[in-house]
Amino acid sequence: MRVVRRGLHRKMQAMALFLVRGRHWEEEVMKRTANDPSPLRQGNRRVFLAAALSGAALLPGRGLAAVPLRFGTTPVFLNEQIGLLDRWQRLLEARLDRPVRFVQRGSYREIVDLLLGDGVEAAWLCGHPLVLHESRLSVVAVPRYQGAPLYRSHLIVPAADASTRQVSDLRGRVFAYSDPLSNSGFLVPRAEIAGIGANPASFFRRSFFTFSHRKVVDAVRAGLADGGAVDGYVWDTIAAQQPASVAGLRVAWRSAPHGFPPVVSRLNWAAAEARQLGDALRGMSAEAEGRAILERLNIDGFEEPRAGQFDSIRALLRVSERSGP
Amino acid sequence: MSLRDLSWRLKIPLAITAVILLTEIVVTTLLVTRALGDARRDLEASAESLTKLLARSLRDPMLRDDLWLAFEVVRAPLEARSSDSPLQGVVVLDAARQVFVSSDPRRMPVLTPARALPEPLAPLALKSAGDNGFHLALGRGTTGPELAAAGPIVAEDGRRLGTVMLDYNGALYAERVRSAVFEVALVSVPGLLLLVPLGWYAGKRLAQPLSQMAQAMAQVGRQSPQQVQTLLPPDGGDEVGQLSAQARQMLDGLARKAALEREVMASDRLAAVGRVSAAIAHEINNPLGGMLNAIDTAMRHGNPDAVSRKTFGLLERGLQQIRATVAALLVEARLDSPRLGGQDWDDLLMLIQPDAATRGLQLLWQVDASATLDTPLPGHEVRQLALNLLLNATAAARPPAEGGSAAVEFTVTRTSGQLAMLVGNTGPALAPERLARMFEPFVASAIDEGPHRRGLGLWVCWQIVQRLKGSIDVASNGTWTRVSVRLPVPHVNERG
Repeated sequence: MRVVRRGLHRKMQAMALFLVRGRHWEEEVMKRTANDPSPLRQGNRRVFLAAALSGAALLPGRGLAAVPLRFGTTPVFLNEQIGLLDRWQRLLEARLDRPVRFVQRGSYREIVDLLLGDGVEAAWLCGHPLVLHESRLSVVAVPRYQGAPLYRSHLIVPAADASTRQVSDLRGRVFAYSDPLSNSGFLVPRAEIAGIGANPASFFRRSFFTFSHRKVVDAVRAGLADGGAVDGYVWDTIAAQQPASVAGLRVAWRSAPHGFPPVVSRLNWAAAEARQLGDALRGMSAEAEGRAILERLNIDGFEEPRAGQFDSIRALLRVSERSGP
Repeated sequence: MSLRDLSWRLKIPLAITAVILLTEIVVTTLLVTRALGDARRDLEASAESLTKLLARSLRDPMLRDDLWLAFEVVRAPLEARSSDSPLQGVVVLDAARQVFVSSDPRRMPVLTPARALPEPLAPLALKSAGDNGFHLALGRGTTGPELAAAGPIVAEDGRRLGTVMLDYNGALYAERVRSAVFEVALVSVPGLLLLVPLGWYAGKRLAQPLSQMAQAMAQVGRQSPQQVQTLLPPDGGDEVGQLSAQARQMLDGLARKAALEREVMASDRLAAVGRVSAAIAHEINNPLGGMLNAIDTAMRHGNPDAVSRKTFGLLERGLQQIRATVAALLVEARLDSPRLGGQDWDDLLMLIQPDAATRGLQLLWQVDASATLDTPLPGHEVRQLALNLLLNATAAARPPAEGGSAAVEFTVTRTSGQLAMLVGNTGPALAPERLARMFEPFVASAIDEGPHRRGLGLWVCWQIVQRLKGSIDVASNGTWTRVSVRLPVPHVNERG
């Protein structure tokens, strides 16, 4: 029920935004799809959405080739770049020989629920929900970033704030988390606070979620928050691709490396399909278009999961749960 | 210089200009007032609808304590505003009157107490907390014009969740209103530029006849009434036209009065001459009679010698000439004269015809049948009068300037109360000064042209006319010189 409310809530948010801007949100959707290079995109998405929302089973008797692979995305990467997703979708469709549909939601939780509830077949998630639902999920592939499948959490503050060295320096201030299910945007700073013996629930005067690493950057930049926790990989990508968006901000602290957010699937998903998807992802670095997409994603490529890769996140979770309210 | 001394040529255009200016000022003031009212209403309406929209959009984020979504909601109107919009910020207060979120967190950070907000917002927050209505604060603060609006955020059950406040750039709003007002005021400038010269021109046109009238009247006494009349504006139905017509009548009256005065003067002079003549004649006649008696006695009983007889004869003829002259100067009444009859006119024709023939004159003789009746007027005197005039005309007749032969005309008509005679001759026009003294005795010689000298003929005529209580006039138009005589015919004798 909570998930449904959250979903409706996000939808209302979009409606409210576009109402405030004096333009119906549907117009915005139309405009976006009009710029879309794929003429079938809108119709396909609607077909998919209908199926996804109803959770209806696929029609029997039809071959795998006609059944779309539903791939959930979360803000663990810059999933708002629709043009890039379209290219990636075409590449995966060619590689898998079946339709691929990217699915976005307002929070990690909604994607996790879709994944667990058979709403999507696979998703690019954070290591935190993977650890939480280890018994029901399996890792398909792990991105390799700067030579290793690792990333860090960054504490960002306004450049004007020269004194903050770590999260604990922001006691009694306003803090922006990205998502309650994010490792780098929530779990890491919570564990840091718990690590100094403070109660993360009352450590800040006010804290809030933006449900996106990118929006944490925006919140700190606007002055809404005195600091925020973001995915170091997302931060680096924004800084590289849109330097203006990080102007006036600095990274005050970097966490120890953690397992990079992986592409996961339900454990009970057909093993052959999961392998196919893993191969397709891993094979991207072997071809030009794949490399171009990887370059835009700012990762080296995808690789097989390694044992104990997400142990550090498990440890953080334990620290956090120990000190939790 | 008072207003009364100012010319109407200035007063009327000035009055019209003043009315135009006044009208423009009134209209502009109304338009400006209206524009100000409209601006205020527009602002209030847009502020109210924006607070309502924001309040509605903020309800769920506030209920769910979703700061980021609330931030995105309050940023939206600022991102969507036009470049000249005075909206500079949105602040949302929670139920505890602390900043829940603001569009500018650096200026108004999260959790700031409402009382610590900048000037127009803090008191407005206090005011808005009191009720669930919309509030607009428009005033002059310490740093300039201040403008803010506030509306409640309420849950579905009506519970107050917080307050949404709009912070406007008061100076920018005031500037926009000022420029709008200036534009409205500017609209009246082309009207003024067009109307004022038009009004000035119309005023000049209206005042022009008045001014012409004044200039013409200023010439009365300096120029002749006829000349003044040509300066007057044309007559018409309006007041100036009526004035002009009145002035014309007045000038005509003036001209008539002047002519009458001249006539009276001439007639007075003639009367004076008559009285002097009568007195002189009387004084001369008495010793003259004595001297003639003495000479007669000396001639008859004095046995004069030849030389004496010759001398007495010379004296007697001289004295007789004096008597004749005096007698001519003073026409005596002759009570024994027979009444005027038709035969008298025939006699006159017979008398004048030979003279006219000798001079080769055309004689235009017209005696009305009514004039041939027996008329109760002294026949001898009328005959003498007519003969004198006819002889005068015959002597003065010359061929007219436009060609043809010289002519003399004689016309007599008789109406019930009057006998009218007209004696005319062709010839050059007589000079005005000569016409003025036509009937005075021995006057003409100095100004008379040619060999003809006037003696007592016309003077005698005048005396006869005076005695018969009639009138005599002379007119000369360049072709004809005409003497017109009117004699009243007594009524009593008409019946007898």
